Amino acid sequence: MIIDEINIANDFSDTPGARYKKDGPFSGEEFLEKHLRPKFINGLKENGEILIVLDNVWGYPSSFVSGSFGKLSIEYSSETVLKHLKFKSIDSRTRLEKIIYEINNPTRK
Amino acid sequence: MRVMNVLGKIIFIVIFLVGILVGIFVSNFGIITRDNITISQIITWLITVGIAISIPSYINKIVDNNKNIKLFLIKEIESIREIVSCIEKDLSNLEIGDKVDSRFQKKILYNINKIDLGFDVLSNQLDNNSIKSDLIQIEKLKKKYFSYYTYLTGASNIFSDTFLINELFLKENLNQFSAFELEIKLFILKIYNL
Repeated sequence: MIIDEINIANDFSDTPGARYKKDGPFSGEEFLEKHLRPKFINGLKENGEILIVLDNVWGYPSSFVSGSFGKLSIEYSSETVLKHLKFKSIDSRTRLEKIIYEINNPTRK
Repeated sequence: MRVMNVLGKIIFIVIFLVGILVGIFVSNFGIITRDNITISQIITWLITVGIAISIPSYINKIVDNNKNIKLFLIKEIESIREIVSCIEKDLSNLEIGDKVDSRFQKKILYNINKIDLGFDVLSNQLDNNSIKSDLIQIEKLKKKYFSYYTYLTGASNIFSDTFLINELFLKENLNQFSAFELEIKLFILKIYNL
């Protein structure tokens, strides 16, 4: 059951940036700390799902995906992340597949 | 459209009248009579003629459909190849030590989005058509694309404010691009050979 939602374009930025905060604004690390991890932990506690809306952004650099979803996957395992995060992308199914691919094969950097 | 309808009606009436005339001719001049031909023979003959006419046209239709689908898939994958070439052309204009500004980064993402949409179209076509998608192995092609995308927009650190074009980046990016381009060519070849 979906208990919360993060619309990346509305709640964070329509131009997601690089991996770390030191790399520039709107990084994956910033997104992870401010939005993704807190809501994910809440989803874990309540055994619910968080809906991530991926549309209306310029695009997702792999470094952003890796610094946020990939990092979360390393911390909690891909199974747990995919159990509690649900994704929505009307714009593109391939975009969604790339994010799920990163969760399943996180870059350890 | 209206002309076609009128033409269709005229052809129907002509065939109908010819049928009547043939019936009259056969009953009066006795080419075949009811005594030496059974109803089941007539039905068998009609079915045979029906099959003889319909099967070749059905096969032609399938062949034409597959041909159109194959041409469509090749056109789509060629357009993906053009977008990737565009990205690489832009990168080749940069010199070692150049900074990658936000305008350039956005252009890369814009082109990546276009590639994503191209893959969406390809996947939808393969899902909705009878073409042997297991032989084409789009997943293998996608994997190469994901590797290319992951290096270009991730591992290379090109979206970092401190990134400067360097030899290692150009070399590794070229490797990823070459691997992806090769897979595209193999994919096109597989479609041709289907």
